[in-house]
Amino acid sequence: MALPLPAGLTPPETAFLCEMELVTIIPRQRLEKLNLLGGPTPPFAPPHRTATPLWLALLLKRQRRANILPPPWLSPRSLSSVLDLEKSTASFSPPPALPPHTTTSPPFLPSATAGAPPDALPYHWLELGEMLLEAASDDIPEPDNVRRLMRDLREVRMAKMRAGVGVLEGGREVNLNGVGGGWR
Amino acid sequence: MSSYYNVDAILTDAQKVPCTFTLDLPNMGFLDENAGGDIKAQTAISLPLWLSTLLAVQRLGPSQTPLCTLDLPPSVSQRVLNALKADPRTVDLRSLAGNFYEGAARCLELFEEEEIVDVLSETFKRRAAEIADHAYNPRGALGEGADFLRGLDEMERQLFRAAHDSSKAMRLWMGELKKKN
Repeated sequence: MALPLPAGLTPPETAFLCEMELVTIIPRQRLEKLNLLGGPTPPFAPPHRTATPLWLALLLKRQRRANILPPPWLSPRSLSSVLDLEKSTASFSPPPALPPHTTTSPPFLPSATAGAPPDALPYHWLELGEMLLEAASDDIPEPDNVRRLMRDLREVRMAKMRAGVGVLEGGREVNLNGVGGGWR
Repeated sequence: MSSYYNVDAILTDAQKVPCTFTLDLPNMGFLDENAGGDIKAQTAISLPLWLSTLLAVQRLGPSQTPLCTLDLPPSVSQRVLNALKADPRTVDLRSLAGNFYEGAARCLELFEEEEIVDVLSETFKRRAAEIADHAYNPRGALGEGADFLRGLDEMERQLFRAAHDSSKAMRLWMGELKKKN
């Protein structure tokens, strides 16, 4: 209590964890595999899509060495369908279905690659969406629309969480299934 | 709450509770601002929580009477409960007790009062939602809510602080992202 350290993770820390998520990129240059502490990065051969961690993708994007393929759920069509679902029910929209026999958890699930399921928000949707919108808005179709939908979604879900305080009681609980890690 | 070094737990322990002595106590008059004198049976004195609970559970002699009997502290009196039932948001909890909820929880461990438990948990829920609204207010929490926020007890202040700081950190993070490009 005496320490001024904030309890839990701060938003930059959450974003740092989110940078381990795999995203799909289309490299513009060849790059052999790099042996890093977190494991080797895949070799890049220009026209082929490759899944890399977000931090590497953002680095390459800033240096204009790659284009990022946004995950399918980060499209206006998918986001607005999730938003409609959120508005029509009192609970949160369900997270993407896990493939059978999954033993890992975010950020090690391929929930942000080009092959991720659409119409469902993964664990790190807020952080990942924000970071991609900032660094790679030219790779995302209709970025302004996506940004507006993300903000709407966040507000709808914040309002639900606030309403959830009212029903808290011993024995009753608020179902937070589908709530991502960026909720503060 | 349970930590030995927790300042709030210590302050909660220091809250005064009215108790009535059932026996004559010689030379204990200093408790009743009557140094050197005695305490007569049936004297009502406000004692700190840590002392009064110990005295109340102490059984003396073959009669097994406790040294004193406890009453509910004035911060959860019927008048306060009625006000809380009417509108939890208008009650200044801080002026009642600095650690209102923790003090009440400590007392309710000793008393069987289902009604008070219900009223207090309803109060906390209603006020928590209000606190969250003020904490997320981007124009700053001071303004129309200043009166309400002044009346928060210590636990609610920590709640407000956590909510306020985290929403500020979130805005900062999103704003910083915008600046980078």
